[in-house]
Amino acid sequence: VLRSLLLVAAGAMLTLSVSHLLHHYVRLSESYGRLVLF
Amino acid sequence: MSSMIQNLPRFWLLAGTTLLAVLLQVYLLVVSRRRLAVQDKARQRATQGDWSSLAGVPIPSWGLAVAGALAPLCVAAVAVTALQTSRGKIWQAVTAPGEPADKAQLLSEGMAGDLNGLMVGLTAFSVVLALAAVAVGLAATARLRARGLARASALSATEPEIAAAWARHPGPAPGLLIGSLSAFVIAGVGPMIGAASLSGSHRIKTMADLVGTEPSHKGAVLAQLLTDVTQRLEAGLWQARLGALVAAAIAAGLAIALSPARARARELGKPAELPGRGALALAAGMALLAAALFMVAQPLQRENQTPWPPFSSGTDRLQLKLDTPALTGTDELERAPVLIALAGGGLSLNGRGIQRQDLEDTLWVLRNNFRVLHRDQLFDRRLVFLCEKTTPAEHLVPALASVAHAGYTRPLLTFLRQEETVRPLFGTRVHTVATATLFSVVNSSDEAEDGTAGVDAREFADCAALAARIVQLRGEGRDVTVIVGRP
Repeated sequence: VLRSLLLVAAGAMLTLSVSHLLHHYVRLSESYGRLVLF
Repeated sequence: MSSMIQNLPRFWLLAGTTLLAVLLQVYLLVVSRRRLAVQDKARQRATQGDWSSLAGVPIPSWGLAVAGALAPLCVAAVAVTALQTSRGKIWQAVTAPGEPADKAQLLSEGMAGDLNGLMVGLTAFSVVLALAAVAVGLAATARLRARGLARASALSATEPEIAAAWARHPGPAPGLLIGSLSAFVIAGVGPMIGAASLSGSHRIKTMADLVGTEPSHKGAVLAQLLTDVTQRLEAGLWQARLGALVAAAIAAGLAIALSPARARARELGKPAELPGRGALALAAGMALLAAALFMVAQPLQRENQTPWPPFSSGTDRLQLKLDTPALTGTDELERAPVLIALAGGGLSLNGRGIQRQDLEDTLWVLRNNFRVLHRDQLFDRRLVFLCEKTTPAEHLVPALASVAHAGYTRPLLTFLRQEETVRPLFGTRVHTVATATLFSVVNSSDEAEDGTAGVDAREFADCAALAARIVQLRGEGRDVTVIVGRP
């Protein structure tokens, strides 16, 4: 169980990092859009 | 579809990589199911006493499972290179020198590619990721259970009781790993993919509607769209964070309920064994990968969290570099003929030099054109008027007199200023902001409307002095009439 919980915690961290990176990469489109407007 | 392929750089590379990734996941699924079926048969025979059946069960290598886990990353990497190519075009369009038509083409290609790349990339990534959650879960299950059966086989001669426990619970049930991985993908990453897709659809719809929008309003619509998109993505990120916690709870619950180690320990009446080095290494590897992804996101996060100056409808509309008085107007810049009075006495109307004696006639032509083009509208009397701050009254006043005589009696005195913003990712960016002050211009004081503040332009030395007075009066909330005399 300890092994599984350790992996679960690492999995949660990995998931958080994937959505964090995805969020900021997609959001960068806004900066490119503002670059055009600025 | 064909225009989407045309507008998306490296489309075929992305399509090919996705197809390969899907085929790999399907292969992994089929092979792992077959392996689990073979294991189950051998396990049943072993529990009936035929331990030799376990000797023939092969232990699959981690290779295929690792390839399956890396496949979504490969698809994401190809999608990112496609997106970067399109974003590079946007960057080139706004920074590199070139013809306006070429820049507009680059910009259009870049923006379409960014949007299409995002939508296609997200679809490809989510399909491969969802398949990988099942396929990798099944492959890892097959590997762990095969190792458990090998342990049972090894123990069967010396410790048959422990071997029987291992044969009954050789490793995680398929539902444990598939359920956990799917929970992380669906609840943890799903909301972010969903928010990104919805924001992309919103962008596509707004961009399509933009075709019918009044040109002077397009910038404001685009600025609002970008704000909306950011808000949607922010909401998606919070849902994803919450989802990751829910997924962790589900995975922990499954691990406790379906743990083979606990099942064996219960059966044997002994405490469960401590985690092996492999599990610790895997957890450490995942934590390290997570830290690396957070680090990769850091410069992007800094860029995204640095606020942009608020959108100004006068931004770069005039594409001019002119040393106008250092003042800020409070009225909205409008579309109208653009007249510039230079310090040396030169005049320019709509970008072309013009002699003062020709100015009034040309303005009359423009006024007639307005009437022909806008039959259902009253002539709005607007003119965008700019002067260099040192333009003396002797050049300024006659020009304004021609303007008033041609009926452009509601000009917008326009000021340009350079605005600078330092971006973490794009460096220092400078652009020109135009602001305007509306006033009336008349040839003689008896034409001035009652209640307006009268200003005689002939009493001021230059453009800077006259402009300062007009802005001051407008700042006090008064309507200003500038008297300029006959042309």
